[in-house]
Amino acid sequence: MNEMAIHHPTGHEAQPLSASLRPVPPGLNHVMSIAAETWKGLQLMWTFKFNVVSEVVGLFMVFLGINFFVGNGAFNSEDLAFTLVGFCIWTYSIFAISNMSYALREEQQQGTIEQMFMGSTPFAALLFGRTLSNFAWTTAVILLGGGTITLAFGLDLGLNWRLIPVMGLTMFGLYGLGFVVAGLTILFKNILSFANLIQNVLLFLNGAIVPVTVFPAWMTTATRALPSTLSIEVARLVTLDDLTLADAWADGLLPLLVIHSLIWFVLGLSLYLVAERIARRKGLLGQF
Amino acid sequence: MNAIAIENLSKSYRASRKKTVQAVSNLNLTVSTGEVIGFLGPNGAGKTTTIKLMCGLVLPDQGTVTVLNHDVHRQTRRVMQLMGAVLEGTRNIYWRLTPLQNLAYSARIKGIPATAVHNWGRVLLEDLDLWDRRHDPVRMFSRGMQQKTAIACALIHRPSLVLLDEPTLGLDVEAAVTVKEWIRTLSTRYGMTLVLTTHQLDLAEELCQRVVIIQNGVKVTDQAVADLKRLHKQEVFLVQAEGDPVEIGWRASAQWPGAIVKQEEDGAQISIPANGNTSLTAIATAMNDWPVRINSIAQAMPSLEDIFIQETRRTANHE
Repeated sequence: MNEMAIHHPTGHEAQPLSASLRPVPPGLNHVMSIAAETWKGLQLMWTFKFNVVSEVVGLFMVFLGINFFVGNGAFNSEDLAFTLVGFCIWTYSIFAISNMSYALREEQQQGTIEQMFMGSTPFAALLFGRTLSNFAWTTAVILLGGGTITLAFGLDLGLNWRLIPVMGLTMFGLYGLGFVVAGLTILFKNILSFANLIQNVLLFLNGAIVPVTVFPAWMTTATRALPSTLSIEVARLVTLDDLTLADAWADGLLPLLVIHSLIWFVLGLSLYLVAERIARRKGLLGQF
Repeated sequence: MNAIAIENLSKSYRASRKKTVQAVSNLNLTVSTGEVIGFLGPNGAGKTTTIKLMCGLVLPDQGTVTVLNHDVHRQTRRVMQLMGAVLEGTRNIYWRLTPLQNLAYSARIKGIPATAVHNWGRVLLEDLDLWDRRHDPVRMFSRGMQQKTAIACALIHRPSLVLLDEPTLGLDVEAAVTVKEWIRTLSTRYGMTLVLTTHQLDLAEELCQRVVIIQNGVKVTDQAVADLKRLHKQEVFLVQAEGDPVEIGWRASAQWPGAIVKQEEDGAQISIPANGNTSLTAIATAMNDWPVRINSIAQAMPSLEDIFIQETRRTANHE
């Protein structure tokens, strides 16, 4: 009998299982698993769809509050555009951290993480699927909140296609950051407070509100090592300053972003793999 | 062919800086394809660690686990396609998703397109009485239905080997019966190899051909249920007594060391291991001056529960 067309058992027919269903070819199964993880992420997020409204309102109230404070009680459209670009990329960062800490911890508590580890695709690859769904979700939040503010204040953000590769690199780096957070989440019970701390520190140090160039030189260098700082700087170059990618490359910030994202990715993946091995040795997978 | 071959498997955990706990010690075990085994042991015996070692979720200190000729820790991905597991109850499903969404996800992360398991998924949901609720979020289900969804997800890729950790824990009688019958079906109709951990020994007795008892990480018994019962045959006298269960308990323990007392609502059931000095008459005489009413005394086949307690006590005494 063709295993793909199983009839409903009637009770009299024995169907010994000689093997499992034939899986798709190696490689393709990873693509399918990643897609499944992305789709699952979106389905789960959709069940929280009404939360998106409060998330958007909350985030962008903070944004307006900060601008009101920085602008001495007034909104300046140039400053708003400047901080909005930074704030949006910071939002991607905090959602990435949240996705790899809170959401992963929830999977640990529910026990579903064990099933993910028991899939036919390495967990690290499934995390990529999570990142994709998270990216899509965050984009929706940003489009809703950022779009409303842009329209309400008549801002000119200078959005153009050059932002796409910059965001690609940003996502690559954030995926690396996500690996670090995921590894720590699997290993340590009290990581959530640390994740909170990173999220808040990033807002004030990654140049979202004030450019990092106003910091002392050593601090500028240090803050550029943080995820999202360089992304914000380059994103501002290609949108607000309308620089081409070649100009941004010549400026030196784009090559720095490429190297930075690569380092974060490699470092994050390496740290994660070490953390996963430790967790398997200590029996920590699925514990919380 | 062996569905599972475990050789010299050991695993220890560091409980504190100075203390190491030996969770599994030099375990050897084989399970033939199509076999249903009960993996039993008291709390902390090392059952869950062994199951997690079989699933590749925990790395061993030494030893190997082979599933259908594939090394779990070297060919993990292939093994995962051959194996399904329900670990600790309903812990493998997303409560905010529907059974269909859970099934599709479970199939796809095992490398099977959801379309390929459409019919099989329907069979699972229908047989487990979930088909009518297939579009409802699992969070709205009773515990029994959630458990059945979890089992369906573990089976969606039609694994040859299924590990079930406490599959009927917390279920009401009706749901437990459905799950039990379905587990039996997996073996009889679909020829799956099943490893079952449970504290409900009557369940193991009904479903398993063989039981492995583990204690302090060491295998203490590995025998066919029928052989085990034959070995312990005539060793038990079963007394059904009415009275204060606590008093019956301490009197029985004092009179017959090794007796097992199961307290009931208005009395107790005493399992007395047979030896040269015990007989139906001797027991009746000994209990003559107890403030209890003896309802029955019979020589009985021990239940798996009696055997389990005897085996674990025997091992504890040896230590």
